[in-house]
Amino acid sequence: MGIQFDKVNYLYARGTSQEKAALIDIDLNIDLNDFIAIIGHTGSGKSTLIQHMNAILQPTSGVVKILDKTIIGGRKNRDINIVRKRVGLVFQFPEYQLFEETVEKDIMFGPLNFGVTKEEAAIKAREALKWVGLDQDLLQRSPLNLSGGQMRRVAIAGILAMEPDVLVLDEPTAGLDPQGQKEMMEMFYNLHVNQQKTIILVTHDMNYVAQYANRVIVLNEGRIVFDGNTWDLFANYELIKKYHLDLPDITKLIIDIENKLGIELDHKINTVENLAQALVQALGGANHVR
Amino acid sequence: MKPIIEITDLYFSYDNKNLAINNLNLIIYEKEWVAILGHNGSGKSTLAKLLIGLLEPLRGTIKVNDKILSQETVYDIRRETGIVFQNPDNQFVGSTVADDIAFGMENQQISREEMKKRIDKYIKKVRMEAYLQHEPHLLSGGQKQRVAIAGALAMDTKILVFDEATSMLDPQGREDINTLIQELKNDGDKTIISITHDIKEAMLADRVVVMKEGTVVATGKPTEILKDETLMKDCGLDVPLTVKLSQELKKYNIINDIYVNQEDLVKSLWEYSLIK
Repeated sequence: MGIQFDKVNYLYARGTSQEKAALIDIDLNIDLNDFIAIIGHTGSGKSTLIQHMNAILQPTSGVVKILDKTIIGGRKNRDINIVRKRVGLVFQFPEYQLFEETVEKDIMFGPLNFGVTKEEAAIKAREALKWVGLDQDLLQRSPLNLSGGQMRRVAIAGILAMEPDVLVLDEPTAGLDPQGQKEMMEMFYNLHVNQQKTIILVTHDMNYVAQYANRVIVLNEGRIVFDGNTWDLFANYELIKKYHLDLPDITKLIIDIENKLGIELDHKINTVENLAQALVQALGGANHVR
Repeated sequence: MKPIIEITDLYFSYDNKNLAINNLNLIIYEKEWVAILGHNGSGKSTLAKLLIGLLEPLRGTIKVNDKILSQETVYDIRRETGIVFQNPDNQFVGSTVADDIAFGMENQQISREEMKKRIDKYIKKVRMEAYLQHEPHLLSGGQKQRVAIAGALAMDTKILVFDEATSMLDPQGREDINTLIQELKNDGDKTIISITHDIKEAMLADRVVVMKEGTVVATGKPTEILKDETLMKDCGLDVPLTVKLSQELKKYNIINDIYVNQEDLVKSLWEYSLIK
């Protein structure tokens, strides 16, 4: 039981001159406890796809099964609210949506909406704040007086407080500085490992895809054009070229070295330490003379 | 080289308690491309706002083209300095791309004929001529930033400031803007200040200025600054992958230097493979 898409199509601006197919014949099976990256160019349908994962958008045709809830395209589907508690969707720049007077109230907003008591919501807010690595002192502060990175964490805590099984993240590191980006990604990885959250990450950064995702889905003009193992994607140069995808920085460096030195290296290497060792080996051992 | 911006003992605070700019001194020379690097909250965007007189310093002076920035000179100085902001959605006023580029010029009473000429010239420069009559809000992020750059160029300023202009764009948009900045640099008549935390962008500049806690902590060539891991980490930044690999390879005595530039690193490896 995870999230399944069965022949899902989605039309934007249906029946107008602007009508456009945003998703075309999407078949997809997402297992719980996975870490999946969704990539593709701006306009390829990534945001439309993830908005189907918690029923913010419903298919024009086809079926989406979200955990135990079935959503049938072209019909009015009832009682889908509960899905939004179990699949938490973090939009791009979620800090723009903070609105309460205090951090605590903002984080409690979601749980309260799903009918937990005030006391319980307050406990969940404290927990969630811990998960995003923020100090409890911030609870009574106005979210609008925090730094950009802190605000984003508060917004994410608001989603986590609903205790979703699946966390869908739309470019969660956009606009953060390198340190902030790294911390944010480590935080999601920890939630994945320690809280068994299923993570679905939309990103343009292939370094994160290489570092964290087990599986990658590539979208192009509304269709899935690749769905599989991360390193199988990065080894598939035809596909990479055809869809103008980027490679992780380390893979680009490996290819550069191979071409110039006329040697072969393992393209699945993803740390500098391993790359250095592979180079030492390829070049005939460490140099003790120089 | 002639200084075009001279900042002396600059202080600024948003709340009269914490200093966002804390004793900052910096000289920027005519026609150089300076990248100002720093983590979020280091004061880089505050500095940009001070430079164009959107904020007023607590103390200290900013001299632009030999004029001290003050309430009397701020409008003159804004004619010397164009700025492109981070968020492509927050800087449009016109209902079409052409109107939008015209907006800044209208405020400066430039003749209609001259306006037309400039719009035509700069829309081509940013390769958006096919979109002149489009509504700005229907463009992609990268396209919006290109229009914003055309608008800034149309003001014919000596100085251009890019305040994290690429940080909200996808890789394609980012590359387009960086290519455009490089072209402007090569044209040779602008002083370019790009405020960024993107190391790849900083690598393209003539000079890097690193900011931390509201002041300048280092300045130098990208190849010198970006290989200083202690400095970069201390400032919440990261070193390029090439630097990390150089450090590892040095342990095995395969190379002797730390390389920022990928081409240089690969070349050094190649030379090693020849003698081995």
